[in-house]
Amino acid sequence: MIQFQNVTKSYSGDKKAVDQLNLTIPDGKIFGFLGPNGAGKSTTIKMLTGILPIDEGTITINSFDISKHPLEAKKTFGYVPDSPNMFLRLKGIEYLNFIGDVYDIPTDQRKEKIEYLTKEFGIYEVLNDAIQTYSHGMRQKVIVSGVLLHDPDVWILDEPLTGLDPKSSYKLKEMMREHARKGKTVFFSTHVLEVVEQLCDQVAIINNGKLEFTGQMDDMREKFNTEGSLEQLFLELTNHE
Amino acid sequence: MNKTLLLFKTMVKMHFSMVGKDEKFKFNVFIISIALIPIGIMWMFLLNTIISSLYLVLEPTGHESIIIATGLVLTGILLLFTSIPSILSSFYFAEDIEDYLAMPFHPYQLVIGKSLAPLLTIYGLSAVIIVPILFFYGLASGGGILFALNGFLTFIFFPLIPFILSSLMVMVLMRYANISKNKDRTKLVAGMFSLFLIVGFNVIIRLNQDTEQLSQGFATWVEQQDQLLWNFTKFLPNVYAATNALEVEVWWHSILFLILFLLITVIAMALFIVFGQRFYYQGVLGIAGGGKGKKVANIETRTSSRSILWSYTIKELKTIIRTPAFFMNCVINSLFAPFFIFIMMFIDENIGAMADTLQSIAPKSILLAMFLFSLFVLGTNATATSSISREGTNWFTNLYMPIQPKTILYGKLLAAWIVEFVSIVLLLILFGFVINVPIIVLLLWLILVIGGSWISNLIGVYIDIYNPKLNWNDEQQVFKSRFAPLLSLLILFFGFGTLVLSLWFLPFVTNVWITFLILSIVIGASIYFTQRKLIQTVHNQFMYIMEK
Ligand SMILES: Nc1ncnc2c1ncn2[C@@H]1O[C@H](COP(=O)(O)OP(=O)(O)O)[C@@H](O)[C@H]1O
Ligand SMILES: [Mg+2]
Repeated sequence: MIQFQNVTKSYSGDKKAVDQLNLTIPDGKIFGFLGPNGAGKSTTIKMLTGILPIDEGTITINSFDISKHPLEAKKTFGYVPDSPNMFLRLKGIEYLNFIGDVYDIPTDQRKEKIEYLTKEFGIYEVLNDAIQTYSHGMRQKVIVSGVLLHDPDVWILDEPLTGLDPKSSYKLKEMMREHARKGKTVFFSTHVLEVVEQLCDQVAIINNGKLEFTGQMDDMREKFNTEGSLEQLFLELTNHE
Repeated sequence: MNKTLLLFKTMVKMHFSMVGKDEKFKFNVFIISIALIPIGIMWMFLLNTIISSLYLVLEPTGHESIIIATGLVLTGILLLFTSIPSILSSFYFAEDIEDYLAMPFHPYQLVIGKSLAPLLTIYGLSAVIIVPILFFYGLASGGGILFALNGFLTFIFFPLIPFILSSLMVMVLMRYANISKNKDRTKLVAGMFSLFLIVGFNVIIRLNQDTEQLSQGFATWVEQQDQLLWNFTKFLPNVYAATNALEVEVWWHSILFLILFLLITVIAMALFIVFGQRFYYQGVLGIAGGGKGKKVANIETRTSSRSILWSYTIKELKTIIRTPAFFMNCVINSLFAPFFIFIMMFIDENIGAMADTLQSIAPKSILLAMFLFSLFVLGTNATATSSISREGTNWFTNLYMPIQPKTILYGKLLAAWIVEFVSIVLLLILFGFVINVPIIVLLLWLILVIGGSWISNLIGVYIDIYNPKLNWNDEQQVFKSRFAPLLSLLILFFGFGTLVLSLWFLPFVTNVWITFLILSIVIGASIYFTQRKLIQTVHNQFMYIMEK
């Protein structure tokens, strides 16, 4: 479970990237965080994962406060950042082994799991190449494999489906569903309404740093239909790609 | 032309966007400028002495303008070689190249825009060489307005030709050698190439030096080389023209040569544009592709796990070794000084004499000299001062994983320390086998320098944490226009330099063991305090590094 309480963040000046955010992400559900570009999704997720300091408010992950007990909190989640261009000089296999070391994956499980995951995503063949030589989608897959390798309770994914081919996108969605079915937490952001409609049990909509809506999927549709003020937002979320 | 200007302006803006915004940066500039004053004064003094004494000797023979010719030739050669790596990285390997390639620019426009970064380096270098040479020459010869004007124009236009020459070389090379297939190896080869050129150049100069003649006086030697040099400048027509233009006795003669000089430069610039238009795209296209993925059927997964600290350290080391810019700046450059001395020693026939003299010097003094020298070599190592900056915008990867800030710090320190250990081994061989330092002194030195390396890395990381350069788009930028390495070296040098000097002169410290004891206590204490402070800093600053 993830809890945001009155979370506020501004980068510089008065404009708040995230403004008084209150949100609870329950276990056992796929939770979509929806909003147009620049809404504050990545900022929220970066505060959640301990990358950005929080100006005001608190965030807890499985009851660990990310500011007060960062290490304990960080052990419980896996994170897929919006841009997967990291650890480029390492080979795929070296990256996964690094993750294995950081998250204490027993070595006897490691080999088997890495083989299974990377074959699922079709990157097994390139594991001995530097990540630098991977395409955007392949980089993303290797990072997702890293998260799945240490199998955390909470998944946090920032626009995870952007750049994945349909097959991998399908696989990832299946894995997210499977994880939620096990009673674990899945929290991901997207700027595409369609993705949320296909995948989510619950949704929160953020715009200009403010939470516009949170609740069940059916309620969201109703809200879009009834409130004229959301029309523009709806357009921004559907007119994509 | 408008578009070229626009491109150039954009690149200038991007280049300077991170510079000079905050107070801390200004403060650093201030501190370093102050620290550099004595070095600057020494440099000026040296140049002034050389030039004015040469002028005195050469003026009666009418050969005095050879001073300028020599200065320009040497500067030109220096600029030629030092600009190759920065041209390569700016023209071909910068990450933002791909973005510009997609825009409707002519190749020559891109090449002009991309010249900014290398040109800045070049003008920086020539400002501290050409300007004082001309100034002191002007003082000695009593040059007037015309000399000042021609000198100014020389400073502005002279550096362009070496730059253009290396650019042409690089562009043609990249076009035909088709080495762009392997981006990393090319970077490395180019970097090594210019390093070896510099070393080779030194060796040749030293081999050609007739010590007999040298002792008769530099001026006589220069006079004897006179003909040779003038012949040499025929191949560098702009040196020939500039030198003549700066001979202002006959004013119309001077003006004529000035026009010739400017003409040569303009022709070179035109050549640059034509070549750029013709060759640039052919070299740069395809670079963006990256390497080919070789299929490996059997994936070897390592089965033994490592501790987080060790795993992190290995990750750091791998990144340094595999990133050409990091490898050059962190590893190769630091091997340069010991390596260079090796060569000097081997060439010098007096090496036997040196080992003999060593026997008569007090072990204390040997230890102190060795220690200070090693600190200098270690202090120039860029691994620690770039340890945070090397991460660039990916610094955030250190934040979301469950790794203690302390562990990350130690991982980086350990990596820097291992890199420096390579230099230490080289120095050990140098001191032990080439100079034949007594074994006891050698052992004491080794212990001291291993501690010294740790403290120099502590200082380096500390400085980098306070002023990291994370917003780079090309790895070479991590090491460009930064004060961190210099600041670290100065702190180390002023701190331990005074200690070594006082130990050297203090009458009651004569024993090498007592010297060793005092040094190790000081090193131990500084490690203890710096490390505590550093851990505290990391603890407090960890999340805020990105926001600096
Ligand atoms: N590093 C930064 N510095 C300053 N402003 C930023 C930074 N990152 C994001 N912002 C601003 O914060 C707002 C929210 O951005 P972000 O969280 O990245 O949006 P999203 O992920 O929803 O597209 C935007 O207005 C953006 O301009
Ligand atoms: Mg985002």
